[in-house]
Amino acid sequence: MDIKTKKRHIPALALVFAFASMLQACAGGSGDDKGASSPPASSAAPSSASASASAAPSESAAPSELAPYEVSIVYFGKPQPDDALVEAKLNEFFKEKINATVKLQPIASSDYKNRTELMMNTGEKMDLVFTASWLNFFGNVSKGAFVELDDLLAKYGQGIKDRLNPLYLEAPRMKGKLYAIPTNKEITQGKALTYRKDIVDKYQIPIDSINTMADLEPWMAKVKAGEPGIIPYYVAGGSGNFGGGFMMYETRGNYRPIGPAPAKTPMFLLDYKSSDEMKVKSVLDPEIVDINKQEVGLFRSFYEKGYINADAATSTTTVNDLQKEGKIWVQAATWKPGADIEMKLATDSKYDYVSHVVEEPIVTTDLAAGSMFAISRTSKDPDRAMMVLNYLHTDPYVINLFVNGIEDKHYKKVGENRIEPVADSGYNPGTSWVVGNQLLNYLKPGQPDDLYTSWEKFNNEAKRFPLMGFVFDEANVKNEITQMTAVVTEYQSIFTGAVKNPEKLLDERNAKLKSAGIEKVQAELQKQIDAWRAENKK
Amino acid sequence: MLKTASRRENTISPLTNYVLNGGFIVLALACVLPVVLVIIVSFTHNDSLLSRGYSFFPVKWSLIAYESLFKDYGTILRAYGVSVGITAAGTVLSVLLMALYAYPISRQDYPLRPFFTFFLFFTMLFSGGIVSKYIVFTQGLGLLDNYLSLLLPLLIVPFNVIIMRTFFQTTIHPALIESARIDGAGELRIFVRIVLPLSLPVMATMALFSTILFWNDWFNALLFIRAEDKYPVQFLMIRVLNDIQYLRENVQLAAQNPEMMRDLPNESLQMAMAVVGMGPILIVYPFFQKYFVKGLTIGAVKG
Repeated sequence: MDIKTKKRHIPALALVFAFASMLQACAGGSGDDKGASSPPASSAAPSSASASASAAPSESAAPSELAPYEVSIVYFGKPQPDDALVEAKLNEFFKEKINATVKLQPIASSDYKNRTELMMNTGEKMDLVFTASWLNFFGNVSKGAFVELDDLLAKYGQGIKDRLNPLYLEAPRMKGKLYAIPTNKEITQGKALTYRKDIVDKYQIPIDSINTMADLEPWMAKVKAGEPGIIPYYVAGGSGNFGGGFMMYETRGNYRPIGPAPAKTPMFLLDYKSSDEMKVKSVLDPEIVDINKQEVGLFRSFYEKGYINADAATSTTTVNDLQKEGKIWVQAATWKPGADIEMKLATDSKYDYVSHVVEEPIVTTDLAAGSMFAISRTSKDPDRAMMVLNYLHTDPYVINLFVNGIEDKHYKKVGENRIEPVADSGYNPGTSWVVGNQLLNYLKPGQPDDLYTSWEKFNNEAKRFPLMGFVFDEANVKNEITQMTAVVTEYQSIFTGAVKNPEKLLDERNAKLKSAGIEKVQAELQKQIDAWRAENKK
Repeated sequence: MLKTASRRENTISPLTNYVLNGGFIVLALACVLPVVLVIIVSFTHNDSLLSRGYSFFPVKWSLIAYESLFKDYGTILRAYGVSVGITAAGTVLSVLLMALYAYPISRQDYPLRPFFTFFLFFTMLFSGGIVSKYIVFTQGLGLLDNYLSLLLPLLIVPFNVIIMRTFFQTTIHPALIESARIDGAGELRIFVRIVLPLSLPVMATMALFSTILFWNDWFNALLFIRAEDKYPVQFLMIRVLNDIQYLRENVQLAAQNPEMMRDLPNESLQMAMAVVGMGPILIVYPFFQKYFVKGLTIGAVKG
């Protein structure tokens, strides 16, 4: 039944995008100098108030001097029945501090991107907007959707600056200007093999010496023989988990993806340890082809030996569901301190997990810009929006009210910094990674006491990717990337192990990629990287 | 001799009879079985779903899906209320408005007929797109979070108006209208007393179309409704399904933020939602059915 309505909207959607880009083109004229010209214009209304506020730090600005203003916060989260109660409490706080109120506008994950882009394109009034590299942040910046933040941050965001790892503020920049404030959490993630602890103990698996998928093979054989209910290695090809692709480069040398990744498949790579020349290699490079062939060959042999589930090419069941059923003993996963416990909590606490990190954590632009707030161009008072954001980054009461709700109604305090959520309380939005400063969140059951100190340590120790801060602008090679996406999508299942002759198919894919124009994209990428390096003197 | 005598002129041979019946039984099963399967899966325990997949004869039954669905019954009842209200109001208004548009352009003696027909037809070919629609509704009419924003966009369906116009043109002979006028009836009386009663089949068909359209519509809610207590039931459900789909497609994102994976409904819960969502439409169908066939044949030449 829904198909009918859905279909009808496809041409309409196409029209929207055409129309939206036209609108943007019209707005583009003023878009470029937006950063320079619009902040004074948009803050004209409260200028008398902010003049006095700018003299003193924002915290000490008397609320009565500021005109009342409603700051709307658009964020990535499921609407909750008690949103209004929390909003009222937040208003009490902000009213007293900066004479502002807030309007919470949670938007559920699946709608978020489309809906916020529609709101931006139609110029709807918004103040704080959640954005991220995976929500087309850089595209929206170049369309002029967000206000430039360097001055605002210096004026009203001192608390943010003090607390945030400086690496964070290098990422969300375009032409050197800051356009978003990252949420303070773990700045990057490594990749790890995560095991079920009871199986590791039972078979005495030396997880610290298993660094590649090939090392895993003898243990897959043992688990297959000894644990009939367990899938030795699970691949869900139907939903974008293409098995071999996930850790291929991380476990085989120093190449790391850079630039466009059509259909989430890395096409261009860079050796992050040879920082002297920064030469981009594409998947057509013999060395990379070799890595790819080894990987697809390995997965094919796993599949033939029955280590991979038979429906690997099409399965859409999530790993989480299978974990809850006890069918998974190892998986390739992202890792940060506390990841094992998070995994345990996300799967009904049925099993304990242990991980061995196989990849050194590296901070890339995409990861550091993975969760941020920007201030919309349509905001009528960006100063106030920044003040609110500053409180969300510095004040434990506000941020915990936002992510955990009201004390004794939505959670019970069981320690100084530790809470127990009340079941079915009407407020549990799961937004701790979305808003403000996660390091100020109260700890939940299962999280270790030193979680946040280990995150800080992790952030400080994380290695920076040489191209940190670089963003590829694909405007000149859009057609080529579209064509490459089609090719990659067609051949995606070769990494699941479920198709025959993957090496031959890989050659076939690469030939098609070549005619799709991968070399042109590579040249463009190299050109932009060289320009970026010259500009930043690196 | 006896054999042929026992068979009347128009009957088909038993073999053809079986083949035809068999064919239609298969066809009917192909329509009904998926629905039955959805209902069964919604009562299946998740364990047997994961180990054996969908099955008509699950090993383990369970009511958990419905229990967790109705744990939050307030939300669902309210969403149901919104959907029923919008559908009822929408259907009545929509049929009335479409009839009022279709009738004048069905009349040969209406001078502006070509213009209004083209006006209608034009919107079938070109639409303003979502951006302009969004601006008109939110900034022009100020209907954000207003039930009217669910009602207005679907009131007139151009294609249905054209079906209606064709029906009026073919079933209502101009002489009928003429004679009514001679008897002293005004335009409104002609429409209400003569045209409408004669057009019951097409009205019923359009009412059915509109009911389905309004009941299934979630897209306008996606655009215009922010407050969760104003969600129609279909949007409530499609959002949950979309969220699951979204996480499946963004495995990496979900892995980085496991909080997103929490509270995700499993497959039997998704099916339970589908069952809850289709309920009322199943009840509505039989009421319209007797008009349906006749309504659909309009436009065909009749002897």
